Amino acid sequence: MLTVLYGVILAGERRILTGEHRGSGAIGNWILGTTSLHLLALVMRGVQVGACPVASQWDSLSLLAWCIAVLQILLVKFSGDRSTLIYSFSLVFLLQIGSASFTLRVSETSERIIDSLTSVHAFSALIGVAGVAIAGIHGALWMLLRNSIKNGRFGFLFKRLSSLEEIARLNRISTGIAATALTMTLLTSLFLNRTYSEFQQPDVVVTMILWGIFGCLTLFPRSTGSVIATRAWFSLLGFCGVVFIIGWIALFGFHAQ
Amino acid sequence: MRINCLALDHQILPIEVREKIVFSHDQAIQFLTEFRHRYQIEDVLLISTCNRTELYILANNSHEGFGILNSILQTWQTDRDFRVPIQCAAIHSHGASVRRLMRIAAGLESQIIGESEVLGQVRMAKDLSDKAGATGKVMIRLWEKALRCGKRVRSETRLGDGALSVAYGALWIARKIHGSLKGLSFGIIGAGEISELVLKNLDTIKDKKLRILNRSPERAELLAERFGGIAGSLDELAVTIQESDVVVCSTGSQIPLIKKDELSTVLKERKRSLLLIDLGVPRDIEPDCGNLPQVFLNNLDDLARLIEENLDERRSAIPEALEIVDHEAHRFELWLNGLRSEPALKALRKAMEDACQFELELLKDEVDQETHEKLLVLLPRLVKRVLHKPTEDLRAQGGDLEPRFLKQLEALFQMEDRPESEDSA
Repeated sequence: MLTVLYGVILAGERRILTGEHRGSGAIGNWILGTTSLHLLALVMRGVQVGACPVASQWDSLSLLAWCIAVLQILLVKFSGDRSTLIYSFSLVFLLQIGSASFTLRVSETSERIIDSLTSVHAFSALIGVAGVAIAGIHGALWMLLRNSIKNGRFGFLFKRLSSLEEIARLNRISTGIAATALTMTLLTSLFLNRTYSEFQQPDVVVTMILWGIFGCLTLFPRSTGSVIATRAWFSLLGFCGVVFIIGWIALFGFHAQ
Repeated sequence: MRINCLALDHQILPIEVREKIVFSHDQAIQFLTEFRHRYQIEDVLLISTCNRTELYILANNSHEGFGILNSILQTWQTDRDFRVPIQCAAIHSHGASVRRLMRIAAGLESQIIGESEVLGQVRMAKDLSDKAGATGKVMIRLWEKALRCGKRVRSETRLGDGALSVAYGALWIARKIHGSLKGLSFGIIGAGEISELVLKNLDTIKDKKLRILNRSPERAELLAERFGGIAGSLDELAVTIQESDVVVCSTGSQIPLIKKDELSTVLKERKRSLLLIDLGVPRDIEPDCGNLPQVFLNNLDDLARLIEENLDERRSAIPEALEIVDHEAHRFELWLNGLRSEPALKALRKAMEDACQFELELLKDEVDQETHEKLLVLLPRLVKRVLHKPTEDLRAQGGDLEPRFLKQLEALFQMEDRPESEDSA
C-alpha cells in the first residue's frame, strides 16, 4: 500500500512539473499523510521486534526509504524549493518497491533482537546514507543544470529546476546531515565491541569511506565555484556508494541484524 | 441586450495608424462622457493601448449596436485621418465581442502572446468608464468575468510562462545561476539600444550594483544617470568583470572585447560564478571564455533558442486557455440571459404570490389562527417550489426566447395593472 501511495505522490509531482497542475510549493497533506503512515508501519514493526526495525531486508529498505522521504521533506520545508522533490521521491518509490519484494518475516523466526545502542547505530547509519543519497541527487541535478546553461540547452531541467545556487545549498545541507549522522554511526560502533573482521565487511568499508568524503566536504568553504563542482562530483560518487549499500542490504541484509 | 465592439488592433492596423487613435486618459474620459450623453448608453468600455483601441457597448439589439459603432468608426476615420481596410471586420457581434474581451484579458490577442500587462490595461479601462459615469451593470459584469478569465488563464495554464525578450531571457538565465537577482552586481558593456532594453529590465531589481561602460563615456553617463549606476570607459573592463556577477555585452566592436586569456587572469582573484551574456553581432566575447569553469557564456543564438522554446510552450497552452475563455463566456451568457427574462419572472412570481395572498385572506375567517399561520408559511414555499423549474428554464433560455414571448409572459401575469379597455378587448 505504501508503494502505491508513493506512486501517487510521484504522479502528482510529475503533473506539477509538466504544468498539468500548479503546485502550491508547500508540502501537501498527501505527502505528509503517506510519510506518517509509513512511520506508523515502521513503529509497529519496531514494537514487534523490540528495537530499531532493521531485522529484515523489508525493514531496512523501508526505513531507508522513509529516512530519504523525511529528509527531503525537511529540505523542502526549510528552503521552500520543491523542484527536486520528485527525484528524491523516485528513489523512495524504488526502495519501497524493493522492500515490498521481500517477505516480512514473523518475529518468532530467527530474527536477532538488537539492543538500544545498536538501534541508534543502525538508525543513524540509515539517516547518514539517506543524506548521502539526497546529496548525490542534488549533486547530479546541479551538474546537469550547469551543463544545460553552459551548452545553451534550455530544456526541461532548465525550466523546472530552481537555480544552481539553491541546489548547491541543498546539496551542502544534505552533505552536512550525512556527515553528522555517519559520525554518530562511527562513534556508536566504538562502543559495540565490533571485531576487526566486522569492520572489514564491504558495506562497513563503503560507509566509512562515505563518512571520510562527506566529512571533508562539510569542512570545505562554500563560496567558490570549484568547491561546489567538487562537492557535486563527490556527492555523485557518494550516491554510487549508496547504490552499493542498498544492493548489499538487498542481498545480505543489514549487518546490524 | 446585445454587446458589440469596435476593435482596431495590431492585427488589422499598422503602428502608423494605431498611434493616431490612441486615447490619453483625459481624452478617453471625455469621449466616454460625450458618448453616454449622445447615445443614452450607460454600459461602455474603452480600451486604448499602443496595440489596440477597442470600444465595447451594450445596445438594445445588434442592429442598433452595429449602427452606433459604425457611426463612431466613420467619425474617427474622418477626425483622425485613417482608413480601416475592411470596415465590417472591425465591428464584432455579441458572442464574438464577449469572447474578444476575455481573450484580450487572457493575453490571447496580444502581440506577445500571454503577456500580462494587458490585464492592467483592462483594469484601467473600467476606471475610465467609472470616471465618465458609464459603468452599467452588464458591462461591469463582463469586465469582472474578463479579469477573472485573464487570471485563470495565467494561473491554470502555461500561457504566461517563460521569457520572450532577449533582455528578459538574459535575466532568466542569471536567475537560474544566482537564484535571486537582488544584491547582484551587473556590468553593462555598450550603451546602445539593446543595453538600454536590458537596463529597463534591470530597473525592478532591488539593491543591485550597476556599472555601465562605453567607448564614449558620455552616453554611458546618460544611462547611468537614468538607471542609477556608475559610468565608465572600456578601460575599466577588467575591474568591472572582476566585481560583477552578470556582464551583458552589446557593442558594435568588430573584434572581441573579452578574450579567454585575459579573462582567466582576471578571474584568478574571483571565486563566484560569472554569467557573460554576449548580445553583440559580431560577438564581443571569445567563445572559448565559456570553457572556463566558473564562467557561463550565452550569446544571441542561445537566447533566441530560449525564446523560441518558451513561445512553443505558450502556443501549446492556447487550447487550454480557449477552454477557459469559452467557460467564462458561457457563464456570462447565462447571467445575461437570466437578466433578460427577469421582468417576466418577477411578474410571474408576483402574480402567484398575490393569488396566494388573496386566497389566504378569504380563508382567514374559516380556519383557526394556528392553521392560518401554517398556511402563511406553506403557500409561499409552495409557490417557490412550483416556480423553481420554470424559472431555471426561462433563465437558461432567455437568450433564445423571442422578446415578444417574454413581453407577453410579463403582460399575462400583470393583467390587473393593464387598462380596463385592454382587458375587455
